[in-house]
Amino acid sequence: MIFSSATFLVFLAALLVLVALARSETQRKVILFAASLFFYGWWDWRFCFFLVVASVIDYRLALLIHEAPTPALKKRWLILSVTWNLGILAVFKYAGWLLRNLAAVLPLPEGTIPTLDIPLPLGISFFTFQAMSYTIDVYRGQFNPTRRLSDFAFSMSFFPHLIAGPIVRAAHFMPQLAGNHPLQRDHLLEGFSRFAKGFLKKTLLADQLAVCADAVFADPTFYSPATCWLGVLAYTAQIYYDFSGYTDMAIGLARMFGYRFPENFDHPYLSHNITEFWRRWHISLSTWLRDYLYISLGGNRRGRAQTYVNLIITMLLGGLWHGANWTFVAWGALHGTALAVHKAWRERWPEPRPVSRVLGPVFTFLFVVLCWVFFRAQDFSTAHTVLAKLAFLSPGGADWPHVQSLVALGLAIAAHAAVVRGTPVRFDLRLPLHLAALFGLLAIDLLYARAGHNPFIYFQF
Amino acid sequence: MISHRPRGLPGSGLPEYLSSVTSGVPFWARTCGYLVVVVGVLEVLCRLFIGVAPPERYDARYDKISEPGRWVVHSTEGFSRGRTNELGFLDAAVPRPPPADGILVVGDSFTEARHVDQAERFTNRLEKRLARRVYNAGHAGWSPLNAIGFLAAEKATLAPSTVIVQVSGNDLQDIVARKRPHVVEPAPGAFAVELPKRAAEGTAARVKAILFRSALVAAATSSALQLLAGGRDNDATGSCAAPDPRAVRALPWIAGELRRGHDDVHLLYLPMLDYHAGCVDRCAAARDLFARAAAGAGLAFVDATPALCERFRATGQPPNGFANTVPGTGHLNAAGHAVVAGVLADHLVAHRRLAR
Repeated sequence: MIFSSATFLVFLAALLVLVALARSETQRKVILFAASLFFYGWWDWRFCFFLVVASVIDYRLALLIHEAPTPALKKRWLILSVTWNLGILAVFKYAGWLLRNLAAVLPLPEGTIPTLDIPLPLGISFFTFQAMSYTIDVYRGQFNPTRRLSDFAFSMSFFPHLIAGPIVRAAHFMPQLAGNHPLQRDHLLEGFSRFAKGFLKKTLLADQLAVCADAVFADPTFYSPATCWLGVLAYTAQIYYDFSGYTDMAIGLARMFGYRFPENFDHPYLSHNITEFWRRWHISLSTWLRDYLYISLGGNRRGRAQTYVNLIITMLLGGLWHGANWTFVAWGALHGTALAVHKAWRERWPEPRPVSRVLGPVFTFLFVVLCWVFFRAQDFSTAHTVLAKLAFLSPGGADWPHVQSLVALGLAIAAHAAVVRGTPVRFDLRLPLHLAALFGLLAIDLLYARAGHNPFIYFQF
Repeated sequence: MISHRPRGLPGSGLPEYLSSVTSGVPFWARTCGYLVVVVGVLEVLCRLFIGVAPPERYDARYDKISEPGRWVVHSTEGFSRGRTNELGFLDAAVPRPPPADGILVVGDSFTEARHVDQAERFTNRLEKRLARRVYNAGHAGWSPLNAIGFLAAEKATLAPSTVIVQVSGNDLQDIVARKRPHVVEPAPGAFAVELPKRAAEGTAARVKAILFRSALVAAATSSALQLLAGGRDNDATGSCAAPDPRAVRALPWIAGELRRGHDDVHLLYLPMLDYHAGCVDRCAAARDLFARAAAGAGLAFVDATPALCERFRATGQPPNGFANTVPGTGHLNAAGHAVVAGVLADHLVAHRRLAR
């Protein structure tokens, strides 16, 4: 049940009616919890049990950490919690990939190492990271665990963030559970505006851009260098509008029901350097990696060289978090190296030079675009072909000025220019003109929407 | 969420200006007013650029056909604008009396070719090259069975000296589909064409006809139905599943029916090529069946496959696909039509020389 599908809109309408009819906060939470499980079970109902069991285990481990009489025992429970969560990820996400790599490397007869084809529970990377942040915060004494299993299970399974984030930390979300959340007109308007913005980003921009990006990455040799550039730029815009569109919809949905989620994007393609990019892109993941991985590795406290190594390790694992494929590792390694180089640069020249103010955003954007090639390509051979095309080393192929991608890229540039000018596009449904404009955009969207199954990119992670 | 610019200052922005001039008007009235403007603008955009599908009528002799004299805008695959002629085809008016050396091309969407400008279609190019009137009698969804009915019905109107029937691989599925004109076999080896039963026009159809006068409503409804059905037919022009045995048995009879009453009939085969696999016809089995049936009935068989592939290999540009669809998929683009026109022109010249 994808947020941008007709099925989800029916589900949402029914859920709003049910929540409006609820007489108490408990009833509202029960309805939302049941709806979240229904939403998750829509893909595969068996994973609902897995989600509930994982929630119960993390809830119990957090209490054990909190109540442990000695630091050593606290640490033992924490290790168990981290092992449990990483173990889930390892089994479901990486076991098959590791076995395939072992079979390729070890000189053993074919079939000696078994192949594993375990179905990947949707959103597993997100809810395991969310659970880990909960137990680590409890261990660090930054947060007292809740004694209500229902609250913890609700926070873990709340459907707007369940599949693709943002990674909502307990410290942000748990305090909100204490209040009452009846449906309110202002919340609904605000939430619907945000949801509509995300819906348009996904269906009007990301899905149209996907046509070009998918075709180019499926067979780059078929296309000319100019078309490959368009395909890569289309993917650059697609992944941003797809994921930030999903985030807008998640934030909007949470707002409709009276909750607030943290922001996950802040116009990352306007960044002046790669460090700033990671402060603006997938903020909930980058801060998670900083707080729970980079700092745990020692951060910048163990000397300059170790800081660079920590940065690279953090981003390398961040890349691997996205999927079990060496291309993701390469993508992470490239970003980690760039972060280390930028850190070294800033230590050598702390004050930004005039030339870097101009060229910084250009180089940062180009670097990010080229790194997406590894992120999107299904293997290194495809990535190599695309990069060769981008470098005009492999001329020839079909020219394809994909109209929808060119229009979407034009709109993206206009939207970013509006942000730079300080007049970002916003909807306020309390204004008649905005309401009419939204209606017009949704009508255009209907005329151009792509039929079929267009899942969000981050669903696969 | 609200823009905090000062309101009511003309010149500080369109929203602020509109807000200032409509400040005394109730919320609902302002919303309705803006909505009327938005819908009006969208209606104009639809009529000019997005899509106006002509209404279809049903002829008891050859099934569905577009209403004559209707404005057509096509934008989902390629782009074109035009008007249907008195017969309901996207073509120029039929001359009265028709010339003696006219060429009639009957076919499906590949012949109708809403995806390119009319001047770029292979029929128009052929007309220019041979200096003979070429009638385009193509209609999306037609199969050789529609052609049989149409040739019988309109032979006197057009009086062509040459008839070209365009076929594609998907026709072998279409001629047994019950929703289209299909072959029936009342006795072994005896075939006939049966038209699908069309519902009588009721109130719903009349309401639909009124609503669909709006290009916006028609385009939005069509889009919504495609979304609900889960597929938009932009890049798929039919399947090449294994031919139905009934269709295979009926092919020689169909070829014979096309030949009936015409001396100079040609079967033009347009392939569905997979360019990623090195320019392979996905419907090669259908092509062989058509070629055999044509030979058996004494029809000349024209296969555009080699020329289309040659053009692709020489230029790297696939003759199918458009700037708004994926290259190499769907209908023929302008380059593809040029290739087909060349193949047909060469074939017709050679055929005439041979006939002499």
